[in-house]
Amino acid sequence: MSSPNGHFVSVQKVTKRFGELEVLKQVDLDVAEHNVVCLIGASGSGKSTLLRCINLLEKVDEGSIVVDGQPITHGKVDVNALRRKIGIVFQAYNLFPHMTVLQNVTLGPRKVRGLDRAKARSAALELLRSIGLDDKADEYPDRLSGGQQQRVAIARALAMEPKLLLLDEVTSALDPQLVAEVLNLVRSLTEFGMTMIIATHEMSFAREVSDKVCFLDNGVICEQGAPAQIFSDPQQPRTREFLARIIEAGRM
Amino acid sequence: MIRVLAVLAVAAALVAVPAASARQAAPPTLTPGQLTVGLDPPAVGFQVGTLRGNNVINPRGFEIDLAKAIAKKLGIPSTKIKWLHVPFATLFRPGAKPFDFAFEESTITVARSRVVNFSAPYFNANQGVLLKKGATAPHSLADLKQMTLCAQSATTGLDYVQHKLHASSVQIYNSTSAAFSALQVGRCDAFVMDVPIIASQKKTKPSAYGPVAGQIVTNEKYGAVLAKGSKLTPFVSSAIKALTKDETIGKLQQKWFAINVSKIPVLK
Amino acid sequence: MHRVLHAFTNPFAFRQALPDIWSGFLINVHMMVIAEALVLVLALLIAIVRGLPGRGSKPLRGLAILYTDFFRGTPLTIVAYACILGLPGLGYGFLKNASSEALGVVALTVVYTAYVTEVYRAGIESVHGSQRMAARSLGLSYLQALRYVVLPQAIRRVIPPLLNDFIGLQKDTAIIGAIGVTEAAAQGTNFANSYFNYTGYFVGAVFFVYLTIPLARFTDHIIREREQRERAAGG
Repeated sequence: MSSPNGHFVSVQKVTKRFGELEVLKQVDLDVAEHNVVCLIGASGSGKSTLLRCINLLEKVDEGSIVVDGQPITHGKVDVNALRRKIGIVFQAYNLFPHMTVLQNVTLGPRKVRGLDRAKARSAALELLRSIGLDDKADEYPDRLSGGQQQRVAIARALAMEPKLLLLDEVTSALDPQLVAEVLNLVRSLTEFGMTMIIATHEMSFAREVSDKVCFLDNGVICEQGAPAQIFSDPQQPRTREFLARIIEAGRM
Repeated sequence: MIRVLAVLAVAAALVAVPAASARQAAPPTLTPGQLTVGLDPPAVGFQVGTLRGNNVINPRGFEIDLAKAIAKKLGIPSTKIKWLHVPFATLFRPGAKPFDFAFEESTITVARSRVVNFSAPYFNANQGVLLKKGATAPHSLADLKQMTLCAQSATTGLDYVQHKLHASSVQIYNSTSAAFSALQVGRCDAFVMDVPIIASQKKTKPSAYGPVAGQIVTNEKYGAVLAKGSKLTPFVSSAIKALTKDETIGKLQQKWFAINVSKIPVLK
Repeated sequence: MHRVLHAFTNPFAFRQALPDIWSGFLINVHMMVIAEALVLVLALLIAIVRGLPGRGSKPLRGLAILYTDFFRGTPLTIVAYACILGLPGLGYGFLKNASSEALGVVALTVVYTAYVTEVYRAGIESVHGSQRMAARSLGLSYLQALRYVVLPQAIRRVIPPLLNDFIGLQKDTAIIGAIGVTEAAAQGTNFANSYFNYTGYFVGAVFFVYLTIPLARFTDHIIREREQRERAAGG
């Protein structure tokens, strides 16, 4: 089910402050179901904050957000129920270090979705197999590489069968040679039709997989549009500046 | 000429002798001309006072009056007495003392005499038994042995219940006040302590405790405590003997203890 | 020097004092085991209350703060006297009949819970915020996230200070000896007052040390193990 204007996620005039600092200023964003939207911009531009507002890890100060037809910024909201529908993967400190990979993946299904131990276990192993990490099921996270850990984190989010997946710069903390395996997994998810909002510095990847790209600059969506248009023919000067710096740094 | 010399010699001798004996009679106190007395209040009737740091302010009681009387005999005015707080538990440890003598209702025992000096006795006492409210009165020592007893650390009362009575249930408290409090809230059935102390306490706070159940004949005698080998000991002892003889002590006892201890039944 | 050794470590007095000091020591052990079990549970509850979010739980959080401030600031001796000589005087039957040892355990529990609450709190706060965020993002409730993700990590981290507080508790059981419970230290004093020899204290000390050494070594082992794991993971 989608909101009145037909989008799965509808962010309208959202403002978020941390003390005196306005991190998001009147942000508007629509994400259609099965679409992939990439958020690009410098660090501190508000990408992470925006993602966290969508799953209510942060409360908005002004504006409204509607997810799957349900307003989440006003009225009585069952936060835990909302979060069951939305998966999120962070840049770091994702996995629970005191649990094995398998336990990490089955925690949500068992305690939140109420699956029994056997069902949760087989579903988790299936998921891990599909990403090629079932042999690591009984390992602790500290034995895995950064890339493997992030892939497990994505699997953990997927185990909850979410309708929306938020990825917050999931490759930014990885060694370059480990980035590819994670991007491959994300790519396969986009091909699968998962609705996703991805904050990323990986411009080539963003260009490749997204239906829409949004450039955030100091808490404002400076420009948004189809990837081809944004990357080849940016309209706003700030967008051009940002992309020029990226190209200069050899990251595109 | 010789007659004049003889008279002069006799006169000189007559002057010299009192002077010499006066010099000889100066008591060897810690601070010359001052008397330092150790106390550990409160013990109703014997001594009460306010504790301020290491000192006792406004002390009053039988032992205070006795100390003043002894000071007088030693030629020290009562304004020159320093009242020091000396916890009872520290009294019988071997070594030097910070006081000239201490009055703390201390029973003279052989074991204690090995580590401290005692003066001549100034008070006779037995042990007494004070009951908590609602306790069943013991009719004999055998009954007493079965009861839960309170006693104070390092006292002859504790020594009695542990080593002579062989009571099975004894609670030891570090101070007299703590033991009386324990009895008052019913931690134990009875408190075994010197009879004048418990009788006076009962008289002062009759509703806090049960009756004085009886006394146990132990024929204890209190003496002032001095450091082992203290040269002041003969001075204090002779003063006490003199005060006993001239009935000063008897009168002080009557003044401070209006209890006829002989009326308390003896437990056998 | 010779006199000090004789006064504190006389072998004949050692043997003489042994049975009484041992029977007293069993009381210390009894008190410490019960108190520690209570402390570990109660302190965790109060630490959780202390961290509850939301305006509604403000009075509860305030009470928790008041409790820990008060009992961390008050000497155990005062609390012990208040419990053993004060509580029975309140007039409630169950308090009047409670043994001094039980009331001593109450005093130890009440004071040490205050300390251990802060230890748990430090542990909880040391767990990276992202962990709770990741757990909540799966749809786990605040308490579920605490139970499955935060607390297991927090408690593992504070095992050394928890063990240290336990060792402190073991030794502080001796304070109860001043108020009618004839544990090891009180027995030592009794021995000293009867025989003018302090070897009884030495016997008591030997028992306590014998108990705490394995715990201290165990603490060291846990710390070393954690360091090794962190070093391996960091690479």
